[in-house]
Amino acid sequence: MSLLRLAWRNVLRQRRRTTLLSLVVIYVTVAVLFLFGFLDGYGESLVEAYAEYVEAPVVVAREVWWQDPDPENGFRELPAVAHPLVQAATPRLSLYALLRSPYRMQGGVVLGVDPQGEKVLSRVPFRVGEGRWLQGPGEVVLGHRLAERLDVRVGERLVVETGKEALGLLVVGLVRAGVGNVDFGGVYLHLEDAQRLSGREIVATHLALKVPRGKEEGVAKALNQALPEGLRARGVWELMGPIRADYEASRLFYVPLLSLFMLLAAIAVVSTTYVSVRERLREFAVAESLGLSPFRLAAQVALEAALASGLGLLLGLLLGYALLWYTSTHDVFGPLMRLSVELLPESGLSEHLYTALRPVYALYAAMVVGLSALLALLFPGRLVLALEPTRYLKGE
Amino acid sequence: MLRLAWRNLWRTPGRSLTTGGVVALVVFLSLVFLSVYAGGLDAFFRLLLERTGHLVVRVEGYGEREDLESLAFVPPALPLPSGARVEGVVEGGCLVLAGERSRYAVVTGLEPAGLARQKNLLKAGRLPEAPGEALLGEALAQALRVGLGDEVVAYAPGGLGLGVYAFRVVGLLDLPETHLEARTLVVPLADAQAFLAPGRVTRLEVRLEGLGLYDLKPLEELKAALMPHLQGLVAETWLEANPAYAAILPLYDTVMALYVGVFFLLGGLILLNALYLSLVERVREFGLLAALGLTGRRVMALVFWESLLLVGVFALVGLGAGLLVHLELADGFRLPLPQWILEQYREFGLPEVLHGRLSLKEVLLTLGYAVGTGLLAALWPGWLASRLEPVEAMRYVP
Repeated sequence: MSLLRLAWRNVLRQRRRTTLLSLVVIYVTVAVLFLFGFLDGYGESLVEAYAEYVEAPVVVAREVWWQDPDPENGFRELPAVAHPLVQAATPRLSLYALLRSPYRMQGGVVLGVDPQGEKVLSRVPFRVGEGRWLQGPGEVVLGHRLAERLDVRVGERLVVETGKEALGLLVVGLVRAGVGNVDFGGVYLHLEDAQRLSGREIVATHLALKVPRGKEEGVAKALNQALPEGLRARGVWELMGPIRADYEASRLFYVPLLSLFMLLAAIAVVSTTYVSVRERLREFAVAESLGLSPFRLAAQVALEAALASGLGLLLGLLLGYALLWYTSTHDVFGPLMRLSVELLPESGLSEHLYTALRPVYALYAAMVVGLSALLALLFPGRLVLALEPTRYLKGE
Repeated sequence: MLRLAWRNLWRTPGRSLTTGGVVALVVFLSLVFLSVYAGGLDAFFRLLLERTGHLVVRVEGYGEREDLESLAFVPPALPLPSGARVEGVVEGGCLVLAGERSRYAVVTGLEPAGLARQKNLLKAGRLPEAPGEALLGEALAQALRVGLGDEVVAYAPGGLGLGVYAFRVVGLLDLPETHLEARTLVVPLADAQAFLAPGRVTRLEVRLEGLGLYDLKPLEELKAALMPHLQGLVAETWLEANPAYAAILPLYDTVMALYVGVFFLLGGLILLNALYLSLVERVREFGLLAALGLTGRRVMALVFWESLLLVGVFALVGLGAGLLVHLELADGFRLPLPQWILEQYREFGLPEVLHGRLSLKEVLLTLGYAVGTGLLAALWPGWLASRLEPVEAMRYVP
């Protein structure tokens, strides 16, 4: 305790110096917090987009359908899925089709859904910006950007052709989800219509499961142990398209970069500690001659470095978390994300990105304190360990 | 003054080397970072240019028109300078049927030169040589379960052409983006016209020889020259034709400046710390210099020279190392990422092998940041040094 008090007093002896090196640590701490918050926020926005809009938290389909997602590889009867964490399940039937409005034509993937089941599992039914969600056969709901492209409005008819069957469906709603895949390519129709359009004896192509957030991969893994042969479950991370690679690559890029930042901050702290120790070698010699062991003195040096960087860390945490709180509650990255959605409409990006705010970031940022203490022990600490008290006490 | 500053720097070689090392590292990382990003952007835009041509001629207001009837036009004769060539293209949506299977695809009709450009994308088979022959994206062929020699039927009702057309698959294309590959059907222009819009095209692509990627001035001049000959049509540069992508360019400079600024801010703070420590160690010395008649301004200049020398020398070291690495990158490199990530990046049109690019602008930006950092970091320590009272300073005990 006395060592801590002594170290603290020494840190405060040179306030300007401590303030300066705190600035370095504050900056690095804010950078660490913000970048981790941004990365995790990006990941969470992807998970939300894919779990709640584009796909589902977990999807079960036949192995052959995963390889070749054609309706002919769908279910002839729905499989029973039992797992304590599965909160709901709904069948879906996806088809490749030609969409024809009275004016224009476009192709895409249409999704046959159970209107009520979808409400439990997906947020799409609650993002209908114009008109209403599906109620029965003969209806279709479109992403609003797709509707613009097809030049079709609520109340007009849309012909859906698959090469086997064709249906004239009434457009009853337009979805504004803020997720590229849904707004630019979402076509939702009743499961019975999809079954008819498929022209085959299938009831669905896949089964969407609702599971608690964060449990998707675990449930998928557990299901794969229990599902009959030929069936396979995939969690939301596996369902993501190429955009997952961008997220993973960002992590691979930023983590080493932040580590480098922390190392540089620790070097700045140690540099200051080194000067401070050199100025006080005589003081250390006196302390050693009074019975304090060189190792305790070296520990004091490390403690001083830790305290100095700890001060910066505390202020950095305050600033960093304030910034994270702001960016996690305000749509700061909205314009950037909207441009990204325009550029990559099929990537599953969301128009909004809010940073994550997790206590664990403080732990990551605190590594700079440990690093500073360690380096202080290795460099200025060595000066103290190699000290010859008699020489310094004589004033040589 | 310069000599004195240089000598002062080497009185604490450890600190000077450490601080200088940070400066060199920041300059080096900035250059490498800028080279890699510019290389990525170039690859992205090169692909775009390859697909659209330098100038694109389409009907006016094509953005609001999606139906083929209003998008198709009879190609006018265009007075082109030597070295420029024009190609007609027909593009439209259709359902491709093969046995029990069907997929939506975009049928693209190309002239022989356009078809020849597909050669480097050819995964199997050959280019179409006769009417009724087609190239299919490999993913589309897999989805339809067809191979070379098989027949597919394209179906696009309600258009100006036949609306139904049978093609024999003679080649498979491997595009970087699987989602495009799964929708790609490339056929000779005459076939596409018969199928979708007889005698018409949906766009004209003008390609020029020997132009740089961002060399837009000649394109603007050609565009202006073509304007009187385009009744009801509009010519756009390849960037204008892709407005969402064009929006990246002005953002790019800002984002890069911010990124590099993040590095330099950290470097600047570390430099400021080092300069202040250097001042603290030499307070008595500065007091003595002031007592011997050195003015405050000269003392301040000394601190500035020390900072600029330290930054200058090590920025040059960082610049040298950065340029050496850049030369390697310019020859071609793969991002140091797992293979599965690189493969997924291809889906965004980013090839696996990129070529680094550094222009003078980027080098000057980095050096400007370095000099600016050196000046800003020396401001406060220099000001403090210039205000030292000689007597007090000479009595200073840390």
